[in-house]
Amino acid sequence: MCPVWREIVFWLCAAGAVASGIVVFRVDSMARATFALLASFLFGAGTILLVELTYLGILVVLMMIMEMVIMVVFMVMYMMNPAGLMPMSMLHNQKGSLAIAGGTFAVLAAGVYLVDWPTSRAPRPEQPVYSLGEALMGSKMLVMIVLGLALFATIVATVVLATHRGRYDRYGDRLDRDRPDDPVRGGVGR
Amino acid sequence: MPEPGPWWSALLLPAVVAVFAAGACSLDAALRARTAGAPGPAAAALLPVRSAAGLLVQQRRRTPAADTLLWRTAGVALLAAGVLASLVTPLGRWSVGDLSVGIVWFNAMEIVAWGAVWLAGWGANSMFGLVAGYRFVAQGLAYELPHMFALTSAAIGAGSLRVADVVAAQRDLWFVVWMPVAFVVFLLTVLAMAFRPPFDQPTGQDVAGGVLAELSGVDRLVFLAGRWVLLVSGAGMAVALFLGAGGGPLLPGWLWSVLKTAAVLAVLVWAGHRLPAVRMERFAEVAWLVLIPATLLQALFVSILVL
Amino acid sequence: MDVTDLTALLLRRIPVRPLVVTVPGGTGARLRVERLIRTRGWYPAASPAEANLLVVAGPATGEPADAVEHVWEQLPAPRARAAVLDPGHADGELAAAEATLRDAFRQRRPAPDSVHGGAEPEMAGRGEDRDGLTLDQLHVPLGPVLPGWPAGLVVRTVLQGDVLQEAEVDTPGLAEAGGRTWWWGEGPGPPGRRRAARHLDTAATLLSIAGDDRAAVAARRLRDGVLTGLAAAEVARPLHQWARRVRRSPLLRWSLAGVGAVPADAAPPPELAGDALARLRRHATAAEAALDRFDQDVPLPDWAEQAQWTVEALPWLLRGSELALARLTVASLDPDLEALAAREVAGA
Repeated sequence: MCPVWREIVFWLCAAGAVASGIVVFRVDSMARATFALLASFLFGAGTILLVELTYLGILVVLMMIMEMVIMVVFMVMYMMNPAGLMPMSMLHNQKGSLAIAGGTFAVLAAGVYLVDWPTSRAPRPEQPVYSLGEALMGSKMLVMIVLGLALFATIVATVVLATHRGRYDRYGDRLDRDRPDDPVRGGVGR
Repeated sequence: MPEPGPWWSALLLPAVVAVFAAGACSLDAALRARTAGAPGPAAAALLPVRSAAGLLVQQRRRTPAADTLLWRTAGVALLAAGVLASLVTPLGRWSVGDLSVGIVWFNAMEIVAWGAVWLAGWGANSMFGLVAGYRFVAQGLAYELPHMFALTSAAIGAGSLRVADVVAAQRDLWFVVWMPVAFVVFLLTVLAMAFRPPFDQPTGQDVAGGVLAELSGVDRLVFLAGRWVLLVSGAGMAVALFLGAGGGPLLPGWLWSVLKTAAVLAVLVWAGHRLPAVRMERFAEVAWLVLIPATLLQALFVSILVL
Repeated sequence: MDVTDLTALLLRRIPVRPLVVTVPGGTGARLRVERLIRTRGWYPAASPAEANLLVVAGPATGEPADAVEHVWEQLPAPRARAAVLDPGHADGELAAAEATLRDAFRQRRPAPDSVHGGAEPEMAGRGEDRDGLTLDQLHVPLGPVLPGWPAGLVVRTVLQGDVLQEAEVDTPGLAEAGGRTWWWGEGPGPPGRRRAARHLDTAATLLSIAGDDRAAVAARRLRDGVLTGLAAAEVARPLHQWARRVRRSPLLRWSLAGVGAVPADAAPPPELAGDALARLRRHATAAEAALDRFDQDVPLPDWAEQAQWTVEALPWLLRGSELALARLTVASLDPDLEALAAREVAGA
């Protein structure tokens, strides 16, 4: 893609992301807010695709749709509110969040101009992401793998601890029930 | 070895997908007419065209207090995603776009259906639609995880997420031969992701048509077309990932692709006819306790063979 | 060709999608209408939005009439309606309604209101759900107009997610039915046939709610064959085939086992004991058993007693079950409210 087009697409994505981000707080229904947020993320994915991080860009699309829809499930679980039957404000703690948002923006924008960013004359590597990954994690791959496993184990452990009904509730104190005592019967037939 | 087609192939893609979708829809109608003892299965094959015409002249409904914007977006998103999912599927030697991560792209487009179905159910402000949309999303992970691991098995087998590489890796041996579990699970979950029977609980009779309960006219047409197109894309990808794409003796590659896709599509439609609906609360347990472990073992088996 | 010509051309070719609404006292009309719909190659609609033809089977007066008008408002144009009071007139009424549907001139009038009064849910505050969370609730009536739902039954529910927290049973319009009961009394033909047909009819409804359209359509075809007077020998083979498939299907067993199970201490009539799967199998077997005594004057089961028990049991049976399970439970119990009304009229 020629640089002019790249520039145009970038600004479209950037403006779209910010605009749909604003919409999140201007609508009065949680579904609209959720899908405006999704649009914002998709514009963000567009900028990632522009720097040729195809995998990351498409993964952002995939994950964000899933996440937003799962968020919506929780919304429906808590609120039987079809089509925004009861409009609600998306704004909470307005002054506090304004201060935090403004402060963060000021710090980051200041960083852009005040930090003395290094420049490099080295040619661009063939696979920049791959090289970056190698440079960051290459010598510590074992640590990273163990860390990944530990994180996953933490998630599983958290779910196990948080679950409302354990196997003793399902199979009895002596685990001797043939069929678990569930509110809804499952399909494996244990 | 598939390669990106010329620019005009992008214009051809919707037409090709539409022809497949119309064919599948006709087969579905003919099978239904035969079961019902209705006059002439041959006449039934034309029913999809007549139904489409009927929906074109039908009034678009509006329900009180609907979220019309999101409701109408649902069908368009479903149809667009269904067509775009086929973007990376090769027809013989050509595919419209040969992305380096084509498999992820395909999956991302399928996931759009989650949002679309939920919106169609929620936006109408109808209780049946709401429950049905909720059903589909609640099943989402039970469908998506086995689906993803089936896709992963094919990707591991080829050592690449590029569909062209997966096709090239099957030159000697189709993947279906040494990853049959992944293939079967993939077909099951393709039906499920396109909420076609027997996985049609989101549009089930017990919820008065579910997410379709309030849709009429052109909105209904677009949504139903999107569902068929999603199924076609799934069948096309099954051919590319497991059945050697355009590979085969004598006939040209594109014809093999067409024939194999038509065959897979026919099997999917036929299965939808033969089997009673798969009830979701029963399937969820099967998906998590049987299908996910089975596909994980399949992926492990493939990994060991590749090493 | 201008747009109106094109519309007229398309109207002549569109498929008819009927929505059949049965009001109490309309069972005979419904059976005839369903047969005609099938043989004409039409497919019934699952909701008013899908339909372009509203068929009212039975005498719609009083409360049922309001429900019918409410459904009619929801049908998008082009649309037509047929009222079938007498089964004998069904063919003519359907033909006339189809002609109206295909007549571009009569369809040209715009629909009165572009907003279709759907079943707008009503918020009902919050309550504890089965996991102990406080969630929003909706007040939703199930019935009286719902495909595959017993005529004249209304279950007023409080819904959380798709879980029925509360269920109350109401039977509006039974008085208007005037004690007409097709299965039990006034239907034509020998009782042996009516008995077999009723078992097949209930099984067909349950199968279609369970999502097994193929077996459901097969059951309806058998039912129509039984009622139109096919010889027992002619029906026997397809009936045994169908019954065997319904009893043996592993997927049906997998999806219906444990659904709507009635505990033994609730003292249900023996025909309604067990779960939906047991009831389905019982219907299949009973339909086969009725075959031998097709044209005899057999005693009919006490359908009024069964309906009475069901109406009383439904509130506690449905409480806490999910919507899909509730639909299957009701379809498997299939109370014949007409028989109930007839008994009350006879008793009074």
